[in-house]
Amino acid sequence: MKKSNLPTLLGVLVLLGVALALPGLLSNDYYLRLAIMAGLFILLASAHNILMKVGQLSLGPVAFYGLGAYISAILSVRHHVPFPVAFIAAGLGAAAVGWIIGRLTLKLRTAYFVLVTIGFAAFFRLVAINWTDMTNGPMGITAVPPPAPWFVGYKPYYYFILALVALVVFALYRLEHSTIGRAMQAIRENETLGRSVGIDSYRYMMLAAVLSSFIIGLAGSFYAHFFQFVGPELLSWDLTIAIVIMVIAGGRNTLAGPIIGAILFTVIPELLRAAAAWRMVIYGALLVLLMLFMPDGILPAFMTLLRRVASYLTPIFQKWLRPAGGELEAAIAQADSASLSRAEAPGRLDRPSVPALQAVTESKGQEMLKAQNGMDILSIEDLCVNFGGIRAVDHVSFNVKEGEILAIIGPNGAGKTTLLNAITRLGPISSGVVKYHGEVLNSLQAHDVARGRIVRTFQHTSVFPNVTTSRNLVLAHNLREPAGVLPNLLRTPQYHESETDCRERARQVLTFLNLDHHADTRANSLPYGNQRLLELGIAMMTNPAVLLLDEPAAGMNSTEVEMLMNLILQIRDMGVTVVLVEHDMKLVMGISERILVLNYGKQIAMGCPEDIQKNTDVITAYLGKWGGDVTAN
Amino acid sequence: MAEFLQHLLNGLMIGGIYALMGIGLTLIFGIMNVVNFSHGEFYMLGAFGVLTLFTFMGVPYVLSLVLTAVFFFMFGSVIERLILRPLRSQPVEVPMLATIGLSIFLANIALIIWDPTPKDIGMPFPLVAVQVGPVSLTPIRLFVFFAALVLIAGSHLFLKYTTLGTAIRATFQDRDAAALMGINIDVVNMITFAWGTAIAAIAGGLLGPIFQVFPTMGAAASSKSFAVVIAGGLGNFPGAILAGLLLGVAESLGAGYISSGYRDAIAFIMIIVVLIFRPTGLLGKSRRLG
Repeated sequence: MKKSNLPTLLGVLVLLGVALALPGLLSNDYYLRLAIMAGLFILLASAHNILMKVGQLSLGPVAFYGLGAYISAILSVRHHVPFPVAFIAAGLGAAAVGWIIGRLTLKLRTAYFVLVTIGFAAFFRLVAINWTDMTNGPMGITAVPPPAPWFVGYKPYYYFILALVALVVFALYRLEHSTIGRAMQAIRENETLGRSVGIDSYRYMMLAAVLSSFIIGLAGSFYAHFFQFVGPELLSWDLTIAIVIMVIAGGRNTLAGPIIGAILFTVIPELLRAAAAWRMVIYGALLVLLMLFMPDGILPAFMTLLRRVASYLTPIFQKWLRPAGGELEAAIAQADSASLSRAEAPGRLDRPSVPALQAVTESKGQEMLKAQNGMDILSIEDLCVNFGGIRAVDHVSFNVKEGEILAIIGPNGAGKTTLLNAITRLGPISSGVVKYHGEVLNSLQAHDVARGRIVRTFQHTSVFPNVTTSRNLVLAHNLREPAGVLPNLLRTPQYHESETDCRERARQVLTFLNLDHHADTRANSLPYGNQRLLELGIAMMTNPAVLLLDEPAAGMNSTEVEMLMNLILQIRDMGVTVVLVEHDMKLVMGISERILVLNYGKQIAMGCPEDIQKNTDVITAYLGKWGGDVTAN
Repeated sequence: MAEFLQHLLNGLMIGGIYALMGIGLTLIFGIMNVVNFSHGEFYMLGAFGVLTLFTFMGVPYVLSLVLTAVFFFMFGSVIERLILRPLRSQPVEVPMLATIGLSIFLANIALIIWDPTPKDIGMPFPLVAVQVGPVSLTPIRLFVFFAALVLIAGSHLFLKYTTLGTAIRATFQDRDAAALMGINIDVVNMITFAWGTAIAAIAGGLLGPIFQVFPTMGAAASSKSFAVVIAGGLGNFPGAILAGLLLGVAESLGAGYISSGYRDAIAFIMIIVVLIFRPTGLLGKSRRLG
């Protein structure tokens, strides 16, 4: 990582140098004006991309652009407010409206969110046209003063927007490579999983909305003072499309993508001016083709191409650079045999790394635990969950003792997963209470529960699919990191501390799960059994006190199940209380201390494995009325 | 009172067309998970199709409508095959942006072919108003309303009682399960999109003689169709019909009694209010989480 920073830094410095020298290089004002427009669009596209980072596509960025422009224009024309004040007010005003609209709409997802943002943008445009007292209607507000008397010609504007772009891009870079950027990636990849490891998705979406509208508001203010005119066409659908195309064509969710997109799509329409009437026809066709052939955008497509070329060229260069049988081959051979020997011995778990992970785990040592064993960490009292007329969980009460492994079993549809959902607050509770260390959890949200160190896995494999194994673990570290904007932007010592902890812990969890050799594999191309292990690792990254596992062995072969049993026992020995929903009886009977049996939502038995195996109600529930005879045979 | 009834009837007539636009858009979303932004352009092109056939070439009005529908059915199939099918596995915003690109493309092609000045299709029926009690109805308005009703009812019967319609409904319920039952999803998608395109084109051809025809008329039609689809609940067929009629009446009364400047705002306010307070639509059941 550290190594690759230098070329990037050099590249940025060169770009900045070129940008600073640009006014001298450009022969006429037309190009300088174009450069200013490109800067403005870089701001808009980068800000719009912040919402894409949490997986939300807005088709209403122009609402904030217009708002910022009108606020700034009205303040400076009618109230003679100095530019710096109007500029900040435009940003803050847009951010405030972004906050309100976010509160109203961010519970919506995908197409619903897209359409509501269109509604807001169109509504704002109609207000701008019809509220003539305030906005002067279609005539617009003219003679907006320049930011300062010495803003003569294009040059001052150019340097102003350049400084603003540099500042914004730097801040976005900082945020992307921080807790906040990672939380946003987690939400985009798998929101439910993110919430279950303590990421407050709503908070990050609100943060994205406010940040995005703040920057767009500032851009709006600059527009007003640069063109010295604001009219309703600033809120047009065409402008929205232009911004969205820049983001998507450049490469959404990347930092450089929107910048590249903004520059390209400021220049392309200018080049297309020659095409006159055909200009917009070509523009539309270009968009369709772009979606068909580069749906992820130009930058990601280019990076893929670069990687492909690199992987093709590397062997050729290596032949030139190194004699046959050099160090590299040796290293590769070594790595191969290492992974082979690991593959030969699946299920061997006596690895020395466990104590290391244990040391990082903040829980009490095993001795203390033994002493405390028997204290209730979770109590479920008279819990009911209804779905319409169906009672999926029916007056269930039980306690989970600190440091134990408790299994919940029952036939399909017994309400096991619904019970886990209720406890982790991802699902509803109709009546009854869930207490954790004596405190009622009912009113909490899923991420709060995770922050209280109750963490779960899911019945259907749930990982962050499009990122590597190690990145999956890093994303799950969120609740142990400072989440504020300032610590992440300014990189306080606290930030560096948590980054170190994150890397260290991810490394340990990888070793613990024996997934080191898959560290750089994309999660969705991991073998199935390894994906299930990764889920366990994701949960372990949060340093849970209570771990709820929903059918962790489903789909595993018998060797993998044995390995899993061993892992769960080790996790328990680190001081984690484990609640397990499982159908694999070998696993359930092999490691759990107590077993709760559910059938049709009702609790039918609770006790140690030996008792449960003899319980006639349980046998009936599993095997039907004549089941007793079958087991007797 | 007479004025109110007149507004109401005008509203229902426009509302019938909104409903017609809405059912196509809502089924395309429900079955293909595509938010189709070119729906309004198909409407606009349908109107120009009728203008070309009926006004310029003298083909009888009803036959012009039928020919336009047939042409746009084929056009829709081609668009589905060339643009939407390759993007099926992409996240929802990718096909959405492709349809936005298509809408820009089509609107500007139309600008080149037919120039921006609004055009009159001319009257296919006599202009004698029929007095029914206190309100007067022109034959064209009656024809538009009943044609919309027939098309909606026909679509309903098609979905309910034909094998293909059943396949479409099955795909709507669960695409993967339908595919496993041997339903050809490619065919279902193509028919759905082609049908939606044809019906939007007919809607344009129906309203054409009442209003003027111009290349940029698709944008407003698109936004109103979206309002209808959202208010009805995305993918909800009866919801779209109800919401279409409601929007037509609300606009007609709003423009008549409040202010015509904000007439177009009603659709957007409808989008915002429904999505915030009842995101599953007027007829939708609240979803279950977990």
